[in-house]
Amino acid sequence: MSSGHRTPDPGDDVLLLRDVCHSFGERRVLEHVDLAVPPGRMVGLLGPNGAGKSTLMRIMFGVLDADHGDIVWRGRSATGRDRRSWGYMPQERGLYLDMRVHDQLVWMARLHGVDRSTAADRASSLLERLDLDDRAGDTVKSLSGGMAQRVQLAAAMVHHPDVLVLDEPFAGLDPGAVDFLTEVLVDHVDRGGHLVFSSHQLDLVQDLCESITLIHEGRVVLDGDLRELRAESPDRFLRVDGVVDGAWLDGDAVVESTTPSESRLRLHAGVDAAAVLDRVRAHAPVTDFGVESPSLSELFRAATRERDGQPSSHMPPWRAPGRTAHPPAHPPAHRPAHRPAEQQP
Amino acid sequence: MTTGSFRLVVEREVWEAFRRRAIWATAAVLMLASTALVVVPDLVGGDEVGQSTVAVVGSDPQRTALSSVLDELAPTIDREVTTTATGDSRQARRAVEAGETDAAVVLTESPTRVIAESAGSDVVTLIRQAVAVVDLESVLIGAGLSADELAAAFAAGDTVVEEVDPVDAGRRATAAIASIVLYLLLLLLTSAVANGVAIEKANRVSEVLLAIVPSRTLLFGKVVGVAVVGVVTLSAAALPVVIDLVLGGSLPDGAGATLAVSAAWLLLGIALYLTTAGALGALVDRQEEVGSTVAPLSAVLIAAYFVGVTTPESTVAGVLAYIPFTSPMVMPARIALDVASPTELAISLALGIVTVALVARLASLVYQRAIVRTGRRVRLRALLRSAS
Repeated sequence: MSSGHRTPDPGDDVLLLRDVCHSFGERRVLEHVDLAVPPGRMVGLLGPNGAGKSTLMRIMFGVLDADHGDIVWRGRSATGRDRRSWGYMPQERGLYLDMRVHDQLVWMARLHGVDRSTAADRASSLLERLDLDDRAGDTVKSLSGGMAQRVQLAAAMVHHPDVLVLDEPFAGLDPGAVDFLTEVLVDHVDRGGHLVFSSHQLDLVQDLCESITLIHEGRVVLDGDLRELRAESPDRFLRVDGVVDGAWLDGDAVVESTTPSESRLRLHAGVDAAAVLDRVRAHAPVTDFGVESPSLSELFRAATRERDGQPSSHMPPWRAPGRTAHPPAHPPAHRPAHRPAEQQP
Repeated sequence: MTTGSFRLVVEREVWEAFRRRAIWATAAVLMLASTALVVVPDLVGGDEVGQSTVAVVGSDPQRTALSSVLDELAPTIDREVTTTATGDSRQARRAVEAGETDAAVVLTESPTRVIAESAGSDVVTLIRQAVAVVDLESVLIGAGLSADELAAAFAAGDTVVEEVDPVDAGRRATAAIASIVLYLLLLLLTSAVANGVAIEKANRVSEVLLAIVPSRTLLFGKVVGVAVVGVVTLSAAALPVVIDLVLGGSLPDGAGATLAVSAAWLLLGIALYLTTAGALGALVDRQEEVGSTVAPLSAVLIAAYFVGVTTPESTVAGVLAYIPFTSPMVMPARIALDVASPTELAISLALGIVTVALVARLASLVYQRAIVRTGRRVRLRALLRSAS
């Protein structure tokens, strides 16, 4: 596959998807999509349902053949052998329900090329780590949904893959399981592994991911380092406790979201946040407030609105389609904190 | 297709199948049925010579003459008759009543009296014939015939029996058994492969596996795995027959050749039907749709079986013997009945092998494209159109 489209520079140790296009019949589901997955960084692949995330992941693993584009690994097109060493967890979980948990993991590891005794050791140790060691001899169908999900993750990791691709790994998990899975994934990238996962739980991605790629209707509409994206956005939001009426704001801001305990106001460009705060205070007491960068959800909405041709706040011109953020040449050795930078007045 | 991953896919199919109790139950039932087929005929005396005892009241020469004729006649009805002398008709009656002897003949009375539990038994018929022969001999000797003339007179009565149906019943039985075993095995294995593929697609295991191994490895690994399970299970039925042969038993005439040829066409049938079933199983979205998807394949199998069993010597069967999807059902019967020429065998086998190669390529293409299309049933025509 060749590409006449703009492409990211392939780093030696970066997994790259370049200019990937795919159609199902007449329906175009991916158009010139690029994705960079550097080692030691958690990359989030975002997009609404039907955006093409799962299709892109299936193409990465050769489950589907792309109409156009290339998967580059270690500076060359990825081969079947390369993919065999990666780990994949599809959105719709796939396990043999009648097979015993331990047997299934050992078999999966052996398919990846691990010898039988090493596979058995790894399966046992992984099950212990996932707190499933007492269910090793049970069939998958006897497990709860959350347990089966953990087994699915174990199946993707049992051969110690360098590249881990997870499609909606947090879907359907309870908070405890989310924490546990997060810990496992953080450990993977801390050890220098490659990790890309898709999720529609944007708050979670915001806390977890360092890089994001946002796909909408088959096209990349936003990508890059998440902290930079948020910090560089011209959008600012005023958060105040209590319910705010839009009529109080005199056109300097709009109510982006509101709950009984909190309102979030998007400030128009050049507007003084303190002046807007004063207007609110003139109508209701404010005991807690803050000026914040856009959340990932807000970046997401802005980008998709722009793509849909709807009025947007400020689609970041520096991240418009046609430009792709390049991964840093030297990714951080340790995962930095990702809490949004907040400005307190 | 890497050998290692192919072997692992086959291994999983076999291992997981034999972990289920159902397969062991099937093997046990088959083995019991086969054992019954081998043992029961022996128990009911199928080929054994029946033993009968007859008490004779009469002089020694009378008893010797009767015994000699009984010895000649008894083998014609697979019997061996032993005569014993007894004092008088009363003792003879008591012996019959006590079950000490099957029948008694009182030669000292005229007409000769036969004592038995039933007048219509084989032994009574035999005794009546023997008594008639002895009486006739006596009359002929009285008329002055010499011993040589007497022997010539009886020899003139020898007959030759011409069988209208020259085919041995054993051959027909072998053909029938081979056909039904092939039919049931192919029907069951076809269903097993199609369902297995459909389940893997429905629960998305295939997507996980396709990220690791090529699609053709999954398809042919399943085909071979299911076939191995089927053949191994079938061998449970063959085991009692093999043991019987080792212990000195024998197969009906022509059964060896029939079984050898049946094995060749069994492999052909397995390759064709199971590979096709794998591709058809990949077309469905839910397991419930498998039945309707493989129905055309099952219909071909059933029709061919029907022709093979009912009219294996017909022209239709002769034509079906050349068609790869029907020859496995027809050819064993034609071999058993000795109506298939060597040319027919060679052409049929060659066509079968070529078709297996073509079907394998086509099935691999269909499977590869269909297994990843989820959400609705895939139409074969649309799939092939998109493939071209």
